[in-house]
Amino acid sequence: MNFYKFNLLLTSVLLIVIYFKVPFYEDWLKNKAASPNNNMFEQMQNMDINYRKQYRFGSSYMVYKDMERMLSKHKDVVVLLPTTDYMRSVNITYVDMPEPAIFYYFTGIRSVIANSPDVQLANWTLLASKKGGMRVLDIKSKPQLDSLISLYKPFIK
Amino acid sequence: MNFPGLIFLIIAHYFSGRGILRLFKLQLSAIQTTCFSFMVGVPLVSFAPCIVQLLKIPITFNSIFFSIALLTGVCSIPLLINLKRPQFKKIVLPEIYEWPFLLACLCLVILSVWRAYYYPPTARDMISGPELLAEFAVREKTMISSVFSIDLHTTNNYFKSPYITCLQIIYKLLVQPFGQVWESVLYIPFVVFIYTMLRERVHPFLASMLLFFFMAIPDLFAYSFVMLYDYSNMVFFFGGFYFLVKHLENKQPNYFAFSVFLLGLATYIRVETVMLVAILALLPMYNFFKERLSLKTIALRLGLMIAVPAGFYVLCMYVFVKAFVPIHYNATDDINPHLGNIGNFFERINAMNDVLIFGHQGTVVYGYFMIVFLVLFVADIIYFLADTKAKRFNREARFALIGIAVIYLGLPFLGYLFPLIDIMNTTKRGLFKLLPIMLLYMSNSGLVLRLSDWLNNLGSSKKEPKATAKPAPAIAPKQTIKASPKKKGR
Repeated sequence: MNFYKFNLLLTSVLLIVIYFKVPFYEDWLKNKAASPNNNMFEQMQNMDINYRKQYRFGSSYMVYKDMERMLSKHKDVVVLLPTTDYMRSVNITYVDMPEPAIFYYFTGIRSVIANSPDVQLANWTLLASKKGGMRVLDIKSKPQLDSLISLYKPFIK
Repeated sequence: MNFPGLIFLIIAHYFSGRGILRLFKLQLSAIQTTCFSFMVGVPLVSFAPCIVQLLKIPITFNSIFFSIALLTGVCSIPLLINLKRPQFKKIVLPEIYEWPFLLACLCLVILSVWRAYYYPPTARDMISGPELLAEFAVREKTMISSVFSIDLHTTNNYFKSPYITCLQIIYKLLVQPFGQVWESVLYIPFVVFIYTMLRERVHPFLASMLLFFFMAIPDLFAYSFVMLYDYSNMVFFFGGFYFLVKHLENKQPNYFAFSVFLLGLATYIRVETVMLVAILALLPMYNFFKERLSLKTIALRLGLMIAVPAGFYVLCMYVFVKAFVPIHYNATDDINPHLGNIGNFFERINAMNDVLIFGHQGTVVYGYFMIVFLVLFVADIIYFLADTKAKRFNREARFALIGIAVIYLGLPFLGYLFPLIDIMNTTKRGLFKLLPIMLLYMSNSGLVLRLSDWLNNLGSSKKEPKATAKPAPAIAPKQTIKASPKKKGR
């Protein structure tokens, strides 16, 4: 290898080091591109499909799957979903509520939100308490449904 | 993961794309031919589930497998008719000083491939649209699934092109439950092509450095494994633009035809691209008039340039979407009702400049790539003004600047026509189409070419001490000519 090539080799190494010393790119490398949370070698130890979904979608996904498990015993289920803003209003920060299409993707269960055209079909809901708990509740009457709709509606943007 | 399924699909992508490429009789290097074969093969193979669904055959492993095999067979006919013994040329390895950049690029490729494989599709636009449709098409063996019986009032993503839905169906059935691996089949050939494109223009050191700079654009890297339409759209739009530029340089009609075909594929992926193609048509129109071509030829070529993408638009919206989405959709409902207020267009340009190009958000999304381009562009202007020999932007640089202007003005125009096209999502990702064109400009910038020539001369003089008498080029003589700003654009 002559000096010309050697100098260029050193320059290229130096340029890469400088590049990743620029604060923005350093941050991108550490927190995004090569983030320890996305460690490929650790991920190779966990190849289960469900684990990978949980890993990506977090606690929200587990809540959806719990709901699926509970509601799969019942027929013709239509869940009235609260919005994420409603959940935040009752201090539940670990769950993001999906829109009906996304809830169907995760669970295969039909759902509506408070302003859906078919909201009157709802016969189940996810009720949150201010203590941070959540429970799946069946809606037994129209007044009960109407009160839930009026509870959730102000949180729809 | 089902490796035989993946290998089958890789072969299918290659041969279907290679067959179509043979039709156009392009004179490309072996590497570029291979890259474009894979890239073109991705959308071609995506037609298989559409055909199966149109024939009302249940979507199963077998039906998809055989339809892909059949489609590949049909697309490979041009290859079989004109069968040639492949020529294995000696592989030229990158120079030693390129390796640090190329290894960094390889690391990014490995991360991208791994994440495309490991993570499930996450983008909201996908799991409330194409991914949702694909998942239930696989479960229910039809694309007209129970999804259309649920509450869809919060989304319109099911009206999007079937490109991703179909690829997801294929990859879910044949490879793995998350699909997605097709993204790498597009990503790897694209970056290899970009590398070869840069190597043809500048010194290998600069080529690998520019490639690394391009691949390390934060959001562009992220969208190489986060499934959405924009990366694919960028790949085919840039391919179309690149071959259009090639055609304007070499005047060969097959390059023009291939460019139009690629722009058609870009339209199939994102239908609004047809508007950008219509604006882009001004570039060849101007050149055709300058070349004093007959009006008939000009009309024919421009007609073709609009008609082919428009044909893909019709195929997508009026055949596929109409057949697979049992909900009425009227695109005119989305058109801005206040078209008379042209101020919206300028407001969008301002918003794009303030937020995406010069704003903090722009840095987060594109890194310093756009800023470096702008600095280089201004430096080239100063260099041009200061040089008494009146050096100009070479032809390719000028075409690249026009391409950049088309996207820069075209995207706000689209946003003005269709208010659903917002700044922070659609426009942000639509601007990806600027990035490879900016890279093309960078590889033709007067300053970069001068640096490239300097590096070449330095290399030659180090190699041959008697270089003053008879200089030995560091790269192929043809490439040296191309790299010189003096030879081009005069």
